Amino acid sequence: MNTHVRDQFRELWHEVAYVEFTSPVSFGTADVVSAGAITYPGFAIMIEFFAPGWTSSSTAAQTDIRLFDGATNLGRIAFVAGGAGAAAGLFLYGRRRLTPSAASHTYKINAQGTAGSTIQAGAGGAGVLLPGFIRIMQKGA
Amino acid sequence: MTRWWDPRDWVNGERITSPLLNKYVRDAFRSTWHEVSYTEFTAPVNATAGGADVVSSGASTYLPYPTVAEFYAPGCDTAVKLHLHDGATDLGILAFVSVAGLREIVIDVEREFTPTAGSHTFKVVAYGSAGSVQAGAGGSGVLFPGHLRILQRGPV
Repeated sequence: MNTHVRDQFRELWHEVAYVEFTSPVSFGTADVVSAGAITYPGFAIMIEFFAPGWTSSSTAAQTDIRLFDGATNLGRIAFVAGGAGAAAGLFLYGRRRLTPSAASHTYKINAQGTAGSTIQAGAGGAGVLLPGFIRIMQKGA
Repeated sequence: MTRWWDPRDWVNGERITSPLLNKYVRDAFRSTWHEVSYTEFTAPVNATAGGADVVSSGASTYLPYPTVAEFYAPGCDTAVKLHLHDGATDLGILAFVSVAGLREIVIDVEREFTPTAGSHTFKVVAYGSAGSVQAGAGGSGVLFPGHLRILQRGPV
């Protein structure tokens, strides 16, 4: 049972947080979405970020998508730059695997964009952008 | 007929038989995915016409079950072609982006396939006449590492 049940479960990943955002985030520096405070046991986690659109109205526009743990900037999870006008756009998806300390952590996505760049999201429905999200998967029991 | 994924409540005193274990433990585990390897890269890699290795999973012995190769880079110059290799064998183009005016994008793509039983070394290779795949060590204002992660369905 230890080999075929206990050890198998320890290899599986499960969802510990999933939080959506449904409104665009324009240029400047702003929090996009937070997973909220969660107490982690110290196992590996995968943090995923998705936005259905990023638009640019200038070839000089760029956006840094940054991952924070509370007030600590952990790094840049995505970098997009360029675009040929208001119609230019693409979706964003990135993920970061890490092993947090056994304690409470608040992971969030923060954007730092230059003029003309916007992270897009909506409520979904016919012809409407779907929500973006932050999702945290954790390995182990 | 109930299947293993149909919700089932066990009751006190219920006899656990081999058919039940086979259905609700063995068959359930066969449907799940587990991580075979996870390898990061922390420095930019310039694409070359002949192909430049970006990241390798290293050699692992695989069962002939469905497998997913997941590749992530926090930034990538457009017009770089990212190929998935098994050792020296080019399995195909995993990602190729070419958009007028766009200079830099995040890449996160995956490919599902079933390898033969045996040892395989999967890697991502960057082809192109210019441009690079971006990654860093992470930290304030620094790009995160990119990665190649291999998942496989079935028993560990």
